[in-house]
Amino acid sequence: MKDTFTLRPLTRTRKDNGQLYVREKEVEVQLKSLATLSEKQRRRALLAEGNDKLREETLVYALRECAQSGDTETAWAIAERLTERVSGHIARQLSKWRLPPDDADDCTRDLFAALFEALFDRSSAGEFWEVRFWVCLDRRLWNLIEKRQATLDAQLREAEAPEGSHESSEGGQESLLSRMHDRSLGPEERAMLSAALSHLSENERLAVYLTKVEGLPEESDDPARATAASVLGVTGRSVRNYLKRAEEKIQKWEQAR
Amino acid sequence: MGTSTIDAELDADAIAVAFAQDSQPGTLDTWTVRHPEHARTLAQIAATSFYPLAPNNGGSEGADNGGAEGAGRVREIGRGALATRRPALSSLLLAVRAEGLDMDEAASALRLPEGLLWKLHRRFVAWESVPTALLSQLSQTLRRSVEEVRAYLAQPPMLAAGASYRADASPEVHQESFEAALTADPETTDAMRERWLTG
Repeated sequence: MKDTFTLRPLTRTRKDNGQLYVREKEVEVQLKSLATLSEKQRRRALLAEGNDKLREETLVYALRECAQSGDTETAWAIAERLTERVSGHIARQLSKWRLPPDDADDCTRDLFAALFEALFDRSSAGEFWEVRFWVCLDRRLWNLIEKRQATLDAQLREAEAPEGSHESSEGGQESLLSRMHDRSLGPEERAMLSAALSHLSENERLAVYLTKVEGLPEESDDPARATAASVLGVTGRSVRNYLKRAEEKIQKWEQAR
Repeated sequence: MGTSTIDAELDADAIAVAFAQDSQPGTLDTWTVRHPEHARTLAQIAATSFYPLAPNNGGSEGADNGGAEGAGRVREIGRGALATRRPALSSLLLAVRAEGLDMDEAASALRLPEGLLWKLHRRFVAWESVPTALLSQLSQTLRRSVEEVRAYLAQPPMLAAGASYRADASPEVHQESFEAALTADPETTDAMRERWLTG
């Protein structure tokens, strides 16, 4: 096996503006630095225990380069490191959806199958993983979870209180959620909001984001208009219920702090 | 996966990545009008980018698998998925190198003479005679299961390239026992003998 590790330029272009996708600066710097190392030093850098300085996109690039040059042992060793890296994130994402354990396990299995397939895919499609690893991973995870979540949502809807009761939850004081869109929030307040949002289900979090930050209406009679309901693929009533539950959970969370 | 499914995945990745590069509050409605079939994914990307999710340290309802226990379970499933796809161990030498080690460094870590590690690589040592503790250490060093290491060592000896050149009959390699190989190696120290041949 010849050492051919160099920084290969991306080849995929964006459909909307025809420009090449670009790696993030930090990834470029890491790859250039890896290319200056000997093969052995590079393997050590890539596989060092607890080395979380290298970005996932960097590891994906190295994995794909190793696989293409026939060094499958190293490629799979990198895949193993990535498996370790993503486990906590996947667990956190799954926990937000509160799927039954068996469904969560199935999602995880399917996700890893998709991940390995994409990483070892020799076509240029794999370049997306070198550009935005977490976007590609999350998109697949969300797709898998949503299939199962649909069933759980149907069960929740049956148990929901009649529409109209959500107004009662809004107190006189300005709630934490209503300050979400405020760009002048300091890092501490933003961290607090992130912590608060982590207690919401995915639909609740998205409903809050769409209405409070993006400013979308809950629903609209104009079918051409983007609304929280159309984005989430649910009715306006469901959106209002998500918002109501979100407010209740955040209030509870604030009181408990 | 069929071609159309791959194309659809590819398109979805392209849109998601392009949006992630542009994403700012207020741009979502334009993107969702352009790509209504990906509206939800775009919203998820936008929301997560605006407010990165904090670790869930225990919710108020339902099962919470976001902690160390959940991560452990995901890791276990991931390792299982990886093991079923990863090709079988085909070379001890390549596996050692894949861990960023040379054979002398691996031998030193395993507390073996380097020559013996090469013999194990070429399968010149009868696998049944290899101590269980060494199999376990090899498996840890190479991050392969004990079964994978054992399966590698149990294959026929590896002949040197050209060994059968102009030979009348297929060359045979005599395998020796682990004990004999260790004892015969001039680099074997008393500590190595103590470690691998006693108890």
